[in-house]
Amino acid sequence: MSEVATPLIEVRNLKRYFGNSDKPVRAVDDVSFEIRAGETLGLVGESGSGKSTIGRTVLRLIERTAGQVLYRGDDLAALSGERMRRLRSKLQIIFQDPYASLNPKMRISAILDEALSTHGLAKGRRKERIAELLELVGLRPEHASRFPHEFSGGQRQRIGIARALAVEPEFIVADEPLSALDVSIQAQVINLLADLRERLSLTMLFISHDLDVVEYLCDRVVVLYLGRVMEVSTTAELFARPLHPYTQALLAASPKPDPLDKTEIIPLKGDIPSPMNPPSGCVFRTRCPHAIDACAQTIPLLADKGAGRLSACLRDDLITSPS
Amino acid sequence: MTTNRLTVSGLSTCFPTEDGLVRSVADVSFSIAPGKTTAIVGESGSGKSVTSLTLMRLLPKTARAQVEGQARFVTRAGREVDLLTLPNAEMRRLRGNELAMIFQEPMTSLNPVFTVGEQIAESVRLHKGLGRAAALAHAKRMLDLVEIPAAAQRLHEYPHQLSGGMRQRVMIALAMACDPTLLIADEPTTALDVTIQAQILVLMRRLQAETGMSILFITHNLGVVAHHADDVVVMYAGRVVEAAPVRPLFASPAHPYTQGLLACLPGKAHAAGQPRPKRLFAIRGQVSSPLAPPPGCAFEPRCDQAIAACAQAVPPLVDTGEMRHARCIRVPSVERNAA
Repeated sequence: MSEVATPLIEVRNLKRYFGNSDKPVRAVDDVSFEIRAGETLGLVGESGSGKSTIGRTVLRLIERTAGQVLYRGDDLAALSGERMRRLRSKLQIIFQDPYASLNPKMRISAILDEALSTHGLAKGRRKERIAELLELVGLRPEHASRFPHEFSGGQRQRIGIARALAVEPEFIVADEPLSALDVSIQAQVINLLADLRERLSLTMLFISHDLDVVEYLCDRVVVLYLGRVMEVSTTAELFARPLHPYTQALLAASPKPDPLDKTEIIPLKGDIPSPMNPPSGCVFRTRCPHAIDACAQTIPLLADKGAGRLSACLRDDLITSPS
Repeated sequence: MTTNRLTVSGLSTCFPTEDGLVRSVADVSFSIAPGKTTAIVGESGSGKSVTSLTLMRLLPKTARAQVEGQARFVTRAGREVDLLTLPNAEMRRLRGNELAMIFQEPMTSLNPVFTVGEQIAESVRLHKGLGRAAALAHAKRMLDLVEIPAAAQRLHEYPHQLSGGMRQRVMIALAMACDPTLLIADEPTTALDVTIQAQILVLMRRLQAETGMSILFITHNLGVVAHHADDVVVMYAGRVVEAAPVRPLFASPAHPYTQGLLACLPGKAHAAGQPRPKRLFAIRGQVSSPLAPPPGCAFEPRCDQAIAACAQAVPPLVDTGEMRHARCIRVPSVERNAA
C-alpha cells in the first residue's frame, strides 16, 4: 500500500463498442480511472459490466473505440506496433482459465522460454531463469520438462503467473485469476499474488466478481455496471460505507460465511439490461430502489461526494454522514 | 420424533476406469428432515455431485457405476422406499414428481427445441394425467409462482430467449410443477451473478416455506450454506468428513479440513474495521488422485494436525455429541469422552 501519488496507468474516457450497426454493444462506455504505482486497483462488476474488456483494452489486446490509456503519460494507442511490442514486457496479464491459457502441446520450459526470447531476456542463462521463475511461484525446477495437462488447476495458474512475471513487468492485469479454482487452492494463489506484489513492487489491476477477494487484496476499487463506472473508493471505505445504490446492493447480495449474520437480503429486482440497448440516463435506474424521474433524463457524472469518494448518482440526498 | 424425508446410509459409488476402480463416493450417510435443508459442501472431486446423481439414479449407463448402500425415502403417502433398489418404472414415477432436481447450468438442462411452457407441461401431463390445455394452464401458474413477469407470454418462448436468471427460474418452475417433497439443487446459483443469485435463493426459500419440501443443497459456496442450510455435510475425497447443524459447524468446526476451509475464506480473514492480515490461512498441497488415495485419512497429506496414526487407516465417522459427527481420529467421540 504505497502512498505514491503518480499514476502509472491513466484511463481517460475509454470506450469500446462492438459491432458496427447503429446499435453497437456498449461494452465499455466512458470509463475513467487511474492506477498509482505500487497500488492494486480492483475492478468489480457482474457479467456484462465490461471489466474484462477494460482489462484487455488497457493492454491493447483489443483496440479501444475512443478514449485514452496513458502509461507513464504516453498514450499506448498512439505507439507504433514495434514500440508497443517492446513495452509489452512491462505490461502483462494473468488469465482466468488456466486450462485454456496454456498451450497443451508446449512443455512448461517452452512456455516460459517463449516469453523470455520474445523480449530477448536472460540470454545465455535461460535454463537458470526458468528454474528461478518456477521456484518464485512455488513450483520445482524439474517441473519445467512437463506438459500443462500434468498439473492441477492451481499449479497451472502458478505457471500462468510465472509466465507473466518472466519478462519483469511493472504492471499486471489479473483477470479473474482465482475464479476457476477451489477455495482451498484460491487461498494459496491469493497469498502468492500478495507476496509477489510486495517482493517485485508490482502495480496491479485486479478484475474479479468476488467481493471478499477484492476486499482482501485491493487498495482501491472501481465498481462497474453495464460498461460504466458507478463508484470509485478506497477498499476500506467502500466496504464500510458504500455510497452508490448499486454498490450497496452488490455488497448486500453476497452472503457472508456466517450463519449468525441475519441481515435479510432484499434482492434487486429484474435482470441486467442489454448493453445493446442500455437504459437512458443512469444505466442502473431500472433496478435501482431509489430511482426518481430525473434518473432517466441525465447520465450522472462520476463526482466527488466528499472525502475524495467518487460516485455517479443523482441522489445526493441519500448520502448520510458516517455514523 | 419426525421421520426423516431421506435417510442415506453407507452410500458408495465406484466407476471402473482403464486405470482401475475409482471410488467417487465412499460410505456416505446423512439425512434430511421434512421441510429442512441439508447442504453438501465440498470442492471439485469431493463426490458431492455424484452423490446427488446416484440418489436420483441419473448416472449414465455407460459409466457402469457400482452402487452400494441404502437411500430410504418417505413418499408423500408415507410409504418408505429405497431409491437405490426401486424398480425403474417406480423410480420414473417418483422422479420429476416427488423427487425433483435443478442443475447448475440452466442452458444445458433445458431442451432448446421446446418452449418453456411445453417443458413444464410435459411433467404434469405425465405424472398428474392432465390434458394439454390444463397442463399449459398449470405451467403458467408455475411461471407465476417463480415470479417470471409476463408469464402468459414467456410460456411460448424458447430457453435461448431468456436470461440466465430467468432460465434458472424456469428450471425451478419445472422442478416445482408436481409439488415435490424433496428437491435436489446441484449448485443452482453457481453460474449466476451475485444479485441474481440473491433473487433465486430468496425464491427457493419462499417456495420451501410454502410447500414444506425438503432440499438437498449441493454447493461449494460457504456463504450460501451459512444462510440457507439447516444441516451441513462436508465432503472430502468422496467421504463425509464432518456433519453438523449449521451454527455449531461454523462456530466450532471439528474436522481439520472444515477448519481450514473456513479459515482460508478471505471474507473471514478479518473482522469489520480490523486491518487485513498479511497472509491468508491456506490449506497446503492439493487433493490426491482418486486413483491413488492415501492409505489412511484422505486429508492426512495436507493436514497440519496429522500424527503417524492418521496414515494407517481410514478413520471412522464418529458421533461427537449434539447431533455432530466427524471423521478424524483426533476428534474424540462421545463414547471416548464418557470413558
